[in-house]
Amino acid sequence: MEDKQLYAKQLLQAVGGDIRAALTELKRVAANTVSQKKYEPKSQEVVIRTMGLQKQYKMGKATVSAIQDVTLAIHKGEFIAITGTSGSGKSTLLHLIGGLDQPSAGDIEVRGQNLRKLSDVKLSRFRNRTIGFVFQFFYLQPFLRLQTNVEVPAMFARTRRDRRATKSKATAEIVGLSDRLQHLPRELSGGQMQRAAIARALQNEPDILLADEPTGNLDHENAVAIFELFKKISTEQGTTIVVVTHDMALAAIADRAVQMKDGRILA
Amino acid sequence: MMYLRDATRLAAAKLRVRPVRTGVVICIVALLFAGISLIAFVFAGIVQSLRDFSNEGLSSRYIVQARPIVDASYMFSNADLKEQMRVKTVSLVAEKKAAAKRLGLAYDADTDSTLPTMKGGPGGENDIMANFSSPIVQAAAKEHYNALQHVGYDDFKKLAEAAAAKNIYKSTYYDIMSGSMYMTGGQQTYLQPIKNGKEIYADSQKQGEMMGPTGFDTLASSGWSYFDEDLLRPFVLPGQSLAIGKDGSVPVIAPISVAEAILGRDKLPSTASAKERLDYLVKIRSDIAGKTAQLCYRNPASSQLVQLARDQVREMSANKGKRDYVVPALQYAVPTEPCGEVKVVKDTRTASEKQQANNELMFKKTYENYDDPQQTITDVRIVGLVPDMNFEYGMSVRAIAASVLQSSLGNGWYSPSRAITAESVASKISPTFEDSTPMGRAYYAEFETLAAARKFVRETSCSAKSDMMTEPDRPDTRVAKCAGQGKYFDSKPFGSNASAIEDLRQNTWRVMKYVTVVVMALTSLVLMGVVGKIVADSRRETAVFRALGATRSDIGYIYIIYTIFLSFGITLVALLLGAMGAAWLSRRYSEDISTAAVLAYNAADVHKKFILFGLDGTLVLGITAVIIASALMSAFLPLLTNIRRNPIRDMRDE
Repeated sequence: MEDKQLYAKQLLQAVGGDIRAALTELKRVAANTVSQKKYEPKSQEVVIRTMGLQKQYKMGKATVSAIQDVTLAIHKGEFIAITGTSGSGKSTLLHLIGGLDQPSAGDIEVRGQNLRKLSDVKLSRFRNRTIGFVFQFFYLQPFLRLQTNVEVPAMFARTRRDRRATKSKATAEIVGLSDRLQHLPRELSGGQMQRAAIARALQNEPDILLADEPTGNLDHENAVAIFELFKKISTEQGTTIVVVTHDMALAAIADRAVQMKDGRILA
Repeated sequence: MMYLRDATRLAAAKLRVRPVRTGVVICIVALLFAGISLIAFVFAGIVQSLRDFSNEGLSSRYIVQARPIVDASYMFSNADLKEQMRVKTVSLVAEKKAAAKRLGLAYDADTDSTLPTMKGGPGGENDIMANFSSPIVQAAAKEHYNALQHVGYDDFKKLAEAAAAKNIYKSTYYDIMSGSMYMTGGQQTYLQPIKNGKEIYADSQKQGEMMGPTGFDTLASSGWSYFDEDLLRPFVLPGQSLAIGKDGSVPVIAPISVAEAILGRDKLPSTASAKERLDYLVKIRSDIAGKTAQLCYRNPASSQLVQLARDQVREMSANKGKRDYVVPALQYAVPTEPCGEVKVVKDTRTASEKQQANNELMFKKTYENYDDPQQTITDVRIVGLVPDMNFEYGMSVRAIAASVLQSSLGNGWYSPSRAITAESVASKISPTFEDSTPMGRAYYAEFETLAAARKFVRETSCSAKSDMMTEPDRPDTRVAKCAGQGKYFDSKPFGSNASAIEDLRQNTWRVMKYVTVVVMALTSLVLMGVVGKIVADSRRETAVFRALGATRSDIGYIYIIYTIFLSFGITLVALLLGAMGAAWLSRRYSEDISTAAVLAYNAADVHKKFILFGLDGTLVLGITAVIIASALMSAFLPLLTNIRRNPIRDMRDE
């Protein structure tokens, strides 16, 4: 912590006290750090593969390309951060991978399944069993206790009550909320709510966890804690985690970071 | 699809979102249904109360009254009869002229109102028509009517037996004249009350209220009927019997106002409270039971003599002391004894005048059915009461209730058939022309069940309408139409309103169905807007659920249950408001209606309550089903739109 403070002090001195300039410099360093990191996959098994992926939206008469020719392979157990500025297409990519949206062109294979060929019901089942979603604004049900909130995906999976209760307690344990299971969301802090959302995403033991700006609504300390949690889940449970963030420093915590700009992957 | 309990849990949680808006929606929609609930509760209350009261009188019995259908136009428009009577008139006029000449009497055929024909009719003044008041016409008409097939008591009995009637009855009705001068087959019969040793003449009787005849006037207005004891028994007061009294008194079930007249009580004012009415009824019932009254029967000649005597007294009193006033040569005295003979007090006629009078009398006896004066006292014993005809209440709740509830023999005088003995007044009173033909007869068949009674009504009652009202000068085609249907009676339920209750229930249902459809449409529109808004507001939630693996069916399932919850809320509030309204109405009007019902049914238990609030499980379930149906209908479109949306678009919009 002392090193970080010293570094910040030196940085501010170097940029003449201009905080904006300091932040830009920090991002540049972080990006270099990420890109310079030598990536070695934990497993050779590719669980997510996109090939020539494209997504276009109609906005009035104009057509906007949100994703352009994205080809990406993500390995089993990998913790990958997708970074980029706002509008770079990172969230769109995440939604395509999660089967929430359909690409305009190209293919997405998740565990060998081409998502374009799945029916709506099968896609729902795929999202329920294979994917765990974490959102920026948590989206917990305000009038359900935490345990019930965590169990919602299991409800859609028709999991028996006793089994899902056991599982919800276990996932709460993982995210450090065992003592809060009977609380309502409004009784939790932002960080706790996001951890609850992660527990919910883990309820059905998905192979892949997709998180869209999960720390966007949290302070730095909580944001780091959430990323550390992802790291832990990835390491201990072998869950593949794809996180969208614009925070380069946090992205550095991931095994790998890919940067997007104008719908394309830069690195 | 997910488990019901899980969908229920998520839907219930959703109900807690925006509770104020949800509450307002529930209340607004519930208000629409509260009206239907109110009707349902009041209706159930009425049906329940009617059932309670149906143990009274004949209400628990299923009796059908059938009246033969005959061509009433026969006497007016039948060409054969007219021609036959024309011929008879010619010969009768010749005969009467000859007799008058022989007896030294003046005779003018043009002023003779007893001839079989009279001038006038459809062809104008030069036309003639049968004179219904002529005994000759009546005899011919009687012969015609009594020869009719299918309409006799035996014909009815066969039909009733084939329909498994458990009892078959017939009644005899006597139309009593009370001073009125209109003719009933050339015979006028008079029954007048004797009070405190004095005969009360029709023109000096205390007149009833403006709204209709009461007291002894009811004898003239509603007549005296003789029924099988079995039909009268439910109306007999405690401790009374339908047997002829040891003193020869005839048991009578009469309107309450007759009891008032006998007891010398003033009628309660129409402003009297329900409690006052009930107390009054209890008192009247206990005081009148077994009380006797005397009626004076006078035949037409006796009545005319009494009237003449009274007119003479009045005339002489008015002209007392006037020089030019000539007192009648033959003076009668008004009888001093009740129902006494009219005696001659002074006769200064010459021998030739007397001879002339004797000749006139002989002429009348020969050609005009004249009988010597007769009068006799009849004792009647009040053994039961029926309500008076409902005239006095106007358009009050009590009046409406009374007219709906009216369930008894009727509003006349009733005695057992066995009271018609050789000595009884009934044997002296001539039945009206109608009653001496199938035209005025009534037969009764009692059945085990309402369904059997209704079936009998359907099977025997002719539905064709008479055209007597629209084309009175032409022969009525109804008889022929009914014969075509093979139905010869006008049948209807008698003495009980069980059938009317059933009709009321069915008609109410019919009206309720239309009201319900309108309310459903209105509600669906309101709900469609509201549910549409709720569903639209829940797009993000739907998107999140979809992201977490919910299928479209799961989402639909949750919202359907949510809508059902909403419906239950609406139902609860609607039923609550409806129940409160019905309870208020019942509290406000129950006392009045109870009194009307006790009077109408002549209930033995005067404290029996008629309530306007009842619970009917079927109705409550029906309302609930209708509300749920409207809610689901209204939720269908917004829901369909919502589950078809792309979740990610909604998420991005958020």
